[in-house]
Amino acid sequence: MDQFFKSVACLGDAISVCAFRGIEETVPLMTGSITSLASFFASGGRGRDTGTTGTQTPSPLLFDPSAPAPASPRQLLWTAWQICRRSLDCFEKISPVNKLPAQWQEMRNKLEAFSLFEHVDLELNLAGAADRSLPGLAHRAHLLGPYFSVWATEGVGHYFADSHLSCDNHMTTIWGNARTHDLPIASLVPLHAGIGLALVERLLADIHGLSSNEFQKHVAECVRLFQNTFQPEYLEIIYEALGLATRNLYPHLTAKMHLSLLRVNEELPEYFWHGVGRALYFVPSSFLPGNSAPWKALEMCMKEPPNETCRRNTVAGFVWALTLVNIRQPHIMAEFLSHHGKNPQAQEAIVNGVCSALIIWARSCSNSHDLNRMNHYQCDGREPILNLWNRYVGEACRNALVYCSAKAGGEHLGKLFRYQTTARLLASKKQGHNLLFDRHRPI
Amino acid sequence: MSNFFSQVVRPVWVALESCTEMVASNAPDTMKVDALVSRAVHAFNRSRFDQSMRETAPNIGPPVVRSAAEYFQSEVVGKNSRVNEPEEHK
Repeated sequence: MDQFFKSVACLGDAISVCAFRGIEETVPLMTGSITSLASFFASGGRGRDTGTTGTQTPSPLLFDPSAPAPASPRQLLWTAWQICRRSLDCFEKISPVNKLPAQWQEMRNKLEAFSLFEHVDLELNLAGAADRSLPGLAHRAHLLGPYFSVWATEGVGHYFADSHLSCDNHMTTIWGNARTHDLPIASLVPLHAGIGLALVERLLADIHGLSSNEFQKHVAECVRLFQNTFQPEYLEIIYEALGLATRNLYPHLTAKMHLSLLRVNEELPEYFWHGVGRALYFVPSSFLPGNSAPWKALEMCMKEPPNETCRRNTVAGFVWALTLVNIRQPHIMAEFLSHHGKNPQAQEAIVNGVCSALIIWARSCSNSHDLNRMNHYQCDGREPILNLWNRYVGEACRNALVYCSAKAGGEHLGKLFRYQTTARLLASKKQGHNLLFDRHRPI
Repeated sequence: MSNFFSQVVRPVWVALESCTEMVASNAPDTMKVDALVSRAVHAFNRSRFDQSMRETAPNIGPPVVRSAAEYFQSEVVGKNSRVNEPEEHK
């Protein structure tokens, strides 16, 4: 009881410390904003002159490291995220058992992953980076360590592609000129995920108001461009990002996009719905702890897809995201199974989602520690959940270990971004490349 | 001024545009709210490339935003350059 009262007494202090830290970070930004506004008016509204001729040279990346950073609404939003994250850390430290409930832990994990992706330039201070090439940025993300670097690398891919698209550069300049041979193999999956997301966001912004025929034409053209630009082993990651962006930003276009992709290639909707599942894990309403345990978004995964194949892919995509975000806390997955593990319809999709996520994690982190922790988790001795755990996660871990036992490299990792049976998944490892498209065959 | 346009006006404009588009659709209410929040966050995220956005404004974003950006480019930026013109000749 004494400890409880001590914890309550510390709570006020902890929150004020967090708030002050947030304000402390914001004030310099606001000062920067006033400075930049003053210099803007001093220059007669012409902005910054970069040369003696007075003309502005657009940089390949947009931030000028020497410029003071203004306090944009985006930076204030980032500060708000930081305050939320730190408050949750404080709550964890002052709680009598030094542990947050599973729903709150999941929320914190989501905030961390999302913030690293969305605000990567602020998190890694990319504005001040000397080397702003893709390998340079990926290296900066890598320094964050195994868990955080995956999300940051995805964010770097998104940031890099977005900056090029804002300069109206062609798609080939994003990947072709990026000295991709200098990139570590472990960074390729998250980089493709981030770059793919930036590209499809741009595509959707351009075509969302078009008629069905025009929409279909642009989608087909874009798929052709993707094929000609990216390595075939990672191509499917871009198609999967289409589902993520469509469901998050233009959910009313999901059916239209499904039909358009189906006309291009009958396998494409499978990747698309896998991405929709991933999007459903990150929809804003699912961030609220009240919507976890049971996970309300899983109902949407069952309802929204038009057929059984798409449903399996959506559930697999949802579980994929759940596994990766909470990979450091296996008890969150155990909580998920205790609520949804008795649904026989979803069993195969859940096993596949966990297995594919673990393989991608092992390949992106070059670290088997998380996989082993999942494999040896004992569910705190709770027998009914342990049975479910062995049936779902135990099987998925064994399959992932078999898959990963072979040497990395030369794998078609893009194929993991959709639902497939265990036999097919393990067979695909032995077969190696099995291209979705023949590059020489017109769509 | 350009910062204010790209970091505040444009994201709000995009969010409002998506608001009308989403409200008109038959999507369920939860889906609409989720999409609005996602698009607002996305619009603010796009604002990080404000400088280049001004450079290439006519090529960015959906048609409504594009026309606003074109207006900004021709009227505000254009006027500024015209005001400064005689000074530069001197």
